[in-house]
Amino acid sequence: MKSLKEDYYNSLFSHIYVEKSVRTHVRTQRILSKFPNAHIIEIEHYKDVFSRRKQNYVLQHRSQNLILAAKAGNLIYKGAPVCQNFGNEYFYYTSCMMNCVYDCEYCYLKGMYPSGNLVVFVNLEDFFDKTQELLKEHPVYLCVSYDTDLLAFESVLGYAGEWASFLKQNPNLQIEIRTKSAGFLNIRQFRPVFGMITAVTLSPQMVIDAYEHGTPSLVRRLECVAQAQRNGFAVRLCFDPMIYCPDWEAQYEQMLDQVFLKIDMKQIKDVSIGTFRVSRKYLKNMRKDNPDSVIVQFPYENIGGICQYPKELTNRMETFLLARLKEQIKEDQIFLWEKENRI
Amino acid sequence: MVYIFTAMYCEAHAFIDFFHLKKDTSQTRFQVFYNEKEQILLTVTGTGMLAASVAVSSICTAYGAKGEDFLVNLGCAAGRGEKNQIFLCHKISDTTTNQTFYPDVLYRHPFLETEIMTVAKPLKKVKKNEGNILYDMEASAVYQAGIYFFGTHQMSFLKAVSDSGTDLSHVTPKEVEQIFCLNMESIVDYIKRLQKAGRAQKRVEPDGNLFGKLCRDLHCSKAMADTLFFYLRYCVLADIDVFSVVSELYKTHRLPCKDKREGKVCFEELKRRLL
Repeated sequence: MKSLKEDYYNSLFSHIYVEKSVRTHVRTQRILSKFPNAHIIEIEHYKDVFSRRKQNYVLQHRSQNLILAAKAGNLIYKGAPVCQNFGNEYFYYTSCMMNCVYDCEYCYLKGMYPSGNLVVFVNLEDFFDKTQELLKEHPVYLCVSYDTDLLAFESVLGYAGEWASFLKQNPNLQIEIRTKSAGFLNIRQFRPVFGMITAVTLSPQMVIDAYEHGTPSLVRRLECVAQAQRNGFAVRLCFDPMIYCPDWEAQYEQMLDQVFLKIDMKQIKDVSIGTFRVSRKYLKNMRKDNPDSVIVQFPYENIGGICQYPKELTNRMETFLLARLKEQIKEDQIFLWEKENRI
Repeated sequence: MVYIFTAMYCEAHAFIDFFHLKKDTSQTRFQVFYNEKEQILLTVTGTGMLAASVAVSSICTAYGAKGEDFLVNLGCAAGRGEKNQIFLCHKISDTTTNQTFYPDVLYRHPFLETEIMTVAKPLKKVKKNEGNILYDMEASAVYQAGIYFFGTHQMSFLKAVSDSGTDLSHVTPKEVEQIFCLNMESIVDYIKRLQKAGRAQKRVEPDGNLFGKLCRDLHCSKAMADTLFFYLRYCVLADIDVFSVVSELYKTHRLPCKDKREGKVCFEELKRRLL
């Protein structure tokens, strides 16, 4: 695929679409300065580009472009049922960036969004204001990197650092930043803050090689987690989604051996487990755009509108991982997506 | 296949020669030129938005444009840019409806990029302070008709600056032809790159004979057949040896099944063995 890209496709962020209303915004200027050779195209509204009909998510991802915009309307959403709340009653998520620089074949974003381009909302203050409004009513558990990977793009945006600074001023807030990145410790502004959970998704190297295009290797992720622990970050390990392959048991066994060797499991905040699942509607879109992907074309079972591995396979995979993790971590620190509460 | 649309014959002439296109005489409403080996089909639409949209829709319907095909709109435009320069348009505005369209620019190209405004009648004069903005009479219509057949990444709009509005009457067909002759190499390279990218997107499909035989021998309903097709396609992609699994079922006389009920049981067994 690499050679294909070299032959046919433009480089990443060769084109940046900017809403007229944010053209002079300070964050817009800062982001644009990182891409001096990009074509800047002025647009009225981000949906004029992002929500066009007949886009191909997969091909757009090979030459991903950036859209800079201001988000209006609802900025904070209640957590979806397919997502884990980790025992938090007031579970919310927000999307100050839509889409991801990583290209994971199984990612639900490929079915959820009509476009493979990245949208960055530069009006971060409005997100902070809305969060503060909620905090007046009750404590808030907010996932800020759900429909994206903020830390993977932190060197360009600096948003995770800005959320960390905001968190310092709001003790009733807890934020989760989910990532597959292994480079966030190099970012000076991103430091551990009380109430911030860095959730790192781990997969066997075989799964990374086959399906998680552009992401760091397992070894690099583990080294980053180990260092993050030493630096005082609260780390959550996410074995979610677990991905099936014919020798999945051997692959996950091998991965766990590496995890237990590199990481001090006693210092891990908690762990989440979940096999791959995606809404039927999203999977339909993913299959249309990616007809040659093994993982997308797997004959999933549709259970209540959620496509997932056959029940028996799901049980085997989750039970296996659960049993191995219980050897290293307390049961009440393990979360399984189906149960939506502690084991 | 690459579907090329030009408004005038003089914009098309150089490409008809280069690709050795032959006139398709079965098409009577528009001049259509075709070369199956080169996988190029060129249509001269006539000038204006209506002619362009009618030509795109009728030709793409007649020839059945597909997912790996591309549309290229080639033509002249008015602008302040350097004369004879080719531009790839990344933003198309329709001045009649105030709608704006954004074709994807995914594929590498050697051209300058700009935005284009499509106007309903010839422009008298391009304003001096408008930079590289181009004006034509077809692009927005080609996009709007083309989007019924192509994705946003499959359409390219290549425009050559022929005049700045006022001097339109001084541009002869010969000069227009000359503009495209001068830029032939870069345009042809771009078209060939699109073709290669299209060929790389061909889909993997399961063995049709095996699928048909299994449907028959399992007494598949429509829903079962759809599921079976998914399993077989997955096996091709995942490199799973379907033939040995199926052979085993035939050897042990589980297949062919005698009725639908037996077929259902056997189908569950087959699914289990394949994964």
